[in-house]
Amino acid sequence: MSREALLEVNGLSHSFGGLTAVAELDFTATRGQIKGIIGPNGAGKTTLFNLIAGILPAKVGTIRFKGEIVNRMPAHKRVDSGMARTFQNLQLFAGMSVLENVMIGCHARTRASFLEAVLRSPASVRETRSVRDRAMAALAEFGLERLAKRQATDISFGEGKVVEIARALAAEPELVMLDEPTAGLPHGDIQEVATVIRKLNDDGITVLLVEHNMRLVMSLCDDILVLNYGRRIAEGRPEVVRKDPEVLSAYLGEDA
Amino acid sequence: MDFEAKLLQLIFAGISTGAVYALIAVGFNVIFKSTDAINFSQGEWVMMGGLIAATAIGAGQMPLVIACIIAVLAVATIGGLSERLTVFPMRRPTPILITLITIGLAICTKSLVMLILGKLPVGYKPFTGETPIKIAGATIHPQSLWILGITAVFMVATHFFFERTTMGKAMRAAAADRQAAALVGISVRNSILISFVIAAAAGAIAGVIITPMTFMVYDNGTMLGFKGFSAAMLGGLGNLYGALVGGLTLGLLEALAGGYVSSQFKDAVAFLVLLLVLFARPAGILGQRDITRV
Amino acid sequence: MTDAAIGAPTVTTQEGAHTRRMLAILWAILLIFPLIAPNNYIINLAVFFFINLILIASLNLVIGYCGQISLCHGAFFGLGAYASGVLAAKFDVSPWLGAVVAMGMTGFSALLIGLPALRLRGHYLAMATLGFNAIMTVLFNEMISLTGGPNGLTGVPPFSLFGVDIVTDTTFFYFAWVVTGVLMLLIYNLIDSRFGRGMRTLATSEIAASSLGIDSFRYKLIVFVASALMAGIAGSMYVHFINFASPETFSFFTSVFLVVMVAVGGWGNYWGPVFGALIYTAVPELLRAFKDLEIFVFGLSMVLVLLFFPDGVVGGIRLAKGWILRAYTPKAGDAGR
Repeated sequence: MSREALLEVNGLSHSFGGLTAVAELDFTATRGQIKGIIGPNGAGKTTLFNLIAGILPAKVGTIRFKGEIVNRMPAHKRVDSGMARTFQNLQLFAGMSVLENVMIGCHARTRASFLEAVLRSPASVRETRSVRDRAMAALAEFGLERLAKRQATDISFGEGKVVEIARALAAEPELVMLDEPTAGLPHGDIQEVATVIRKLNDDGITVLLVEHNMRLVMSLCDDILVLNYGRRIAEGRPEVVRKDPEVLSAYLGEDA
Repeated sequence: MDFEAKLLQLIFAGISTGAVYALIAVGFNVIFKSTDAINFSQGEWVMMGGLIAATAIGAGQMPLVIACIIAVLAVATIGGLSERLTVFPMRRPTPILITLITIGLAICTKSLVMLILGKLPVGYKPFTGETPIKIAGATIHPQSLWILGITAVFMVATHFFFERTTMGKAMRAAAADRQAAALVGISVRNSILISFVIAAAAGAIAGVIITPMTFMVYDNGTMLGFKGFSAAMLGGLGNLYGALVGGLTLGLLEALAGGYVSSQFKDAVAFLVLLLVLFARPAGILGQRDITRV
Repeated sequence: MTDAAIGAPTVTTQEGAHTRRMLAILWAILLIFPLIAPNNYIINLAVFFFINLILIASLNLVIGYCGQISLCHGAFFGLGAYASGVLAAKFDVSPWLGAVVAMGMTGFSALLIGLPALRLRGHYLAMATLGFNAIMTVLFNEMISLTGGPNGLTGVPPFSLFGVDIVTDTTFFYFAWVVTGVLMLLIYNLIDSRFGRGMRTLATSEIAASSLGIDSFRYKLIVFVASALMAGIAGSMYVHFINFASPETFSFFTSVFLVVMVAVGGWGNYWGPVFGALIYTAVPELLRAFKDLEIFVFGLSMVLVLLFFPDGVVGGIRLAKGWILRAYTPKAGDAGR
């Protein structure tokens, strides 16, 4: 595994009104890693994803992606440069089929313009065809080709979770951020998602994984970042983090 | 007329129309709070308030005070009825659907008023005579003072309702978080009904107090509603005090644009400024940017 | 999946070809319409159907597919009509050239208003566009030397082609048939493309869209301008057809009605505007018999349609289809759940 840093976060803070969601956070994800991000509810995990993805403006601190500071880069450009994500609550596009949703994933890797679209230029038709084939192949890889023509709003939550992963991967990312990919899934499907994550990591994609299922996190991740109230309270290999007293108290405190 | 007097005159005029816009804007805000929808029938309620009062005075030979109270009560009832007949039966009451339905409601209201009360402009005497009051070279119509006074009383009453009464507090809770409110036993549906009643009453009061100054005809509602909506946006949609600020700002803008720029283009100037305010402060003068969560 | 045929906005290769075929068939049928129409009045209405279809279908791109409530489509329609009409009536410019200039003007004004306005969300965008429409209405009314003011703009010459004026209802019908047909095809091409898929994500969530590499502001702006251009074309057609324009035709009330018709037809659906335009053109004519009750019946039916078919006519058709399918194929329909 190479040790090159793909994503570096330094001194990152964010607050909503007076509420601090992320505080002075530093961490690094190296290329090829599966990095878990865990913490109790409200620890700032989704906010962190939104900051990295560019949905929220990062005003304090820096976010470096592939060595370049991306604080001011709009969200859609970050996809161009190799980030992709899924959402905690499904964000599949209504009024479109599952296949089209995955085709949207290829958006950043295709070029046809408005005029080419309206005039149905041969290049744009060809591009659409190849994108459709790629999206179909992506669905097939997850065993979901039977869903291709279904409306995105008609499939189950679990299926939607996997479709979102397929859609994120269609963007050919170098870094993929998965926001609770197994939340609300039946047990059997969790294993499937784990397999998917391992496979895409084997293909060289770096993964940031926000997840509540501890067994999954401990078994998948190379490295884990633990947040509480937006702060890093621990970071390191799973077996180290698991025994950290502060981590235990954050979790037990929540349970009690 | 010298400069100060003219300016003062325009400010008086602006404030008194502005107060009417503010009342209409309150109607928009109350319904927006409870449904997230824009109520296109708001202006029709204003028109109806004026027309019913005029009919009660003219054809019904009623004293002015009684006629005005009847008009407000009648319109408030119609407002509540409108909600029960259109919004209440909806299976999925989305904001956009409610907004569209209120357009249909506005059309129905306007045409029914036309069919029942006729197409002629009507009016009645100002509440306390027409002798203008002179202040520093400018004059104020006594009705303007009534408009300001009644608007102030209504604003204070509304404020009291939402801040102090159980029902008002429950409605605010329902507006802030529908699911949580439902969990603690607040009926969201009822709070929508009450918001329609309050909005209709606010509209009717606006109609009742403006009619002596401008006359009222069945198709005035659209423009009045449009102005009230603009005032609500200008102040910050959903904000009670924003309605006041927005209403007065719009009224003054119109009066000053009419007085100093051109009376033909006064609406254009007023809306141009409105657009600029909107572009500079997208959530209105008193509005706060909302935080979108994923 | 059989139920993707009518209405389902899904677009795949076969369905793309299918929709284009449906469009071709519909237009082929319309071709013989003037031959079977009982009188010129009906053909005249058909011309208005085409104009309304352009207006509603173009607005559907902004509202239905991008999810942006624009309340100034009437203003773009009016700008197209007045620019084209004034140039021809007052400055003797050829109607064709005037129409092109009018398109340029509507497109440019859409760009100007869209640049700040499309950064606003929801109701604020609605307000900004409504304000723009109000300003345009004042201008149409008050620039009397150019527009004729509230009395209207008169003396607008018709289009002419190879020395023949397109004046009769039938000739204009064929002209409108061509223009509207081409625009409807272009709209479908747009929907069924990379750009179109990007555009269609915006109605669900701009945040999700931008997280997938879609520059939502740029998409909204392009669609807004394109839609205004089409409204401008509709305006030119209108003014050179009835040779007259009056400010109230383009008031914000028109804009509101156009939005309502997008909803009544079924938004975000390619065929929705066809139904919307049909209703918008025919229903007021049918209601003439009610005299003063006309407007009331119109409002009431609007409320009822939206109450019972919140997804518009197309949604209603899909619903009915579902019932019929379920009635004839017991249990089989549940297997997929």
